[in-house]
Amino acid sequence: MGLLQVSTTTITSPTASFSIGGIDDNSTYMLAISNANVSSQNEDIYMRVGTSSGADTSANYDYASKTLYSGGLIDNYATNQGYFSNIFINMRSVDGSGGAIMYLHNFYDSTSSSFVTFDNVHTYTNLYPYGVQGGGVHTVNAQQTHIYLGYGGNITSGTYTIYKVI
Amino acid sequence: MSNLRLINETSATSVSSISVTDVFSADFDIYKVVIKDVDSTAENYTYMKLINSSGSIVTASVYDYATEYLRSYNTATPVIGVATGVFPRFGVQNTGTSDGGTTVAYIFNPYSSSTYTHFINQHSGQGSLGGVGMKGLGQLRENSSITGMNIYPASGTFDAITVQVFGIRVD
Repeated sequence: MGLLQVSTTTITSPTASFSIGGIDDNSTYMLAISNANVSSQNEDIYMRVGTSSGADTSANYDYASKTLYSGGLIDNYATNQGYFSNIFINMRSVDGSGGAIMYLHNFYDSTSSSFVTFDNVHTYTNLYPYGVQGGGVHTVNAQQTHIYLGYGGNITSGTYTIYKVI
Repeated sequence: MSNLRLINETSATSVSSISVTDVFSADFDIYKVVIKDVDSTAENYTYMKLINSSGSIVTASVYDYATEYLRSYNTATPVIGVATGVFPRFGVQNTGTSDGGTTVAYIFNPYSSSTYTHFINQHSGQGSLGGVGMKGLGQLRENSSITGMNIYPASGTFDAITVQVFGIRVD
């Protein structure tokens, strides 16, 4: 497997939401996140899909995942949400940070829904590691070129990179 | 050129542990680690500890983890731990050639001394009763600069093992 970087964004000051683009064909893409964090305890980072014109805010996000957590394992699922609300939850704004490897499928195909696999980890507010492992679907047949992150607080750090899988 | 860069590949035979050192640096924030071709003298779990920038294996009780242990012959079992001295579910070892299977893990921000080191891991292998797998994550709960890993079997020795470390480059 090879990876070709198509876009990257590094956050260094409080940001409510931001986008990363560069999806321009029907390849599988990988979103890699390192050192993500938020400005205050218990804030979250959510995700939407979209284009250069903006994020799709409609209630068409479904996901099913298993939360691995040192306090226990938890089923984590929802339908018809306004975003994938399970990317990083109740983050600890100091000491810990978040990392993720997420694969993006069928984003550019206008005849298909967009699919995401989650493989995330961060430090929960009580200091334990916490992460969702599973998948999500944006149930709209439309072409998506961007990922939007934020909506659960102010993001203060992190490097967010999209690679094309080759 | 691919942004997935092979940093190190280490193979060993007839060893009680294998260390890969000086593989994490300021050059990368995310690393992909592949442990493969595992054969050992006993059927058990593969343990992992981290090595700090002084070259010492971190042995303090600063490892937290949560793993779903998956088996083809039984229901899944959660295995969790807080403030332990090791990550005890990094993989599985078995006595047949390559029966220990393969672990793929991603390590986040190991070299940074200002945030915890996190990982996610996935494993596929086989034991005497059937196929086994793991899906897990963990963190080293201390702000220290990590430069390597130490991998060892819970019992017995490795007849053979190969560890590959890749960096995921951000340009």
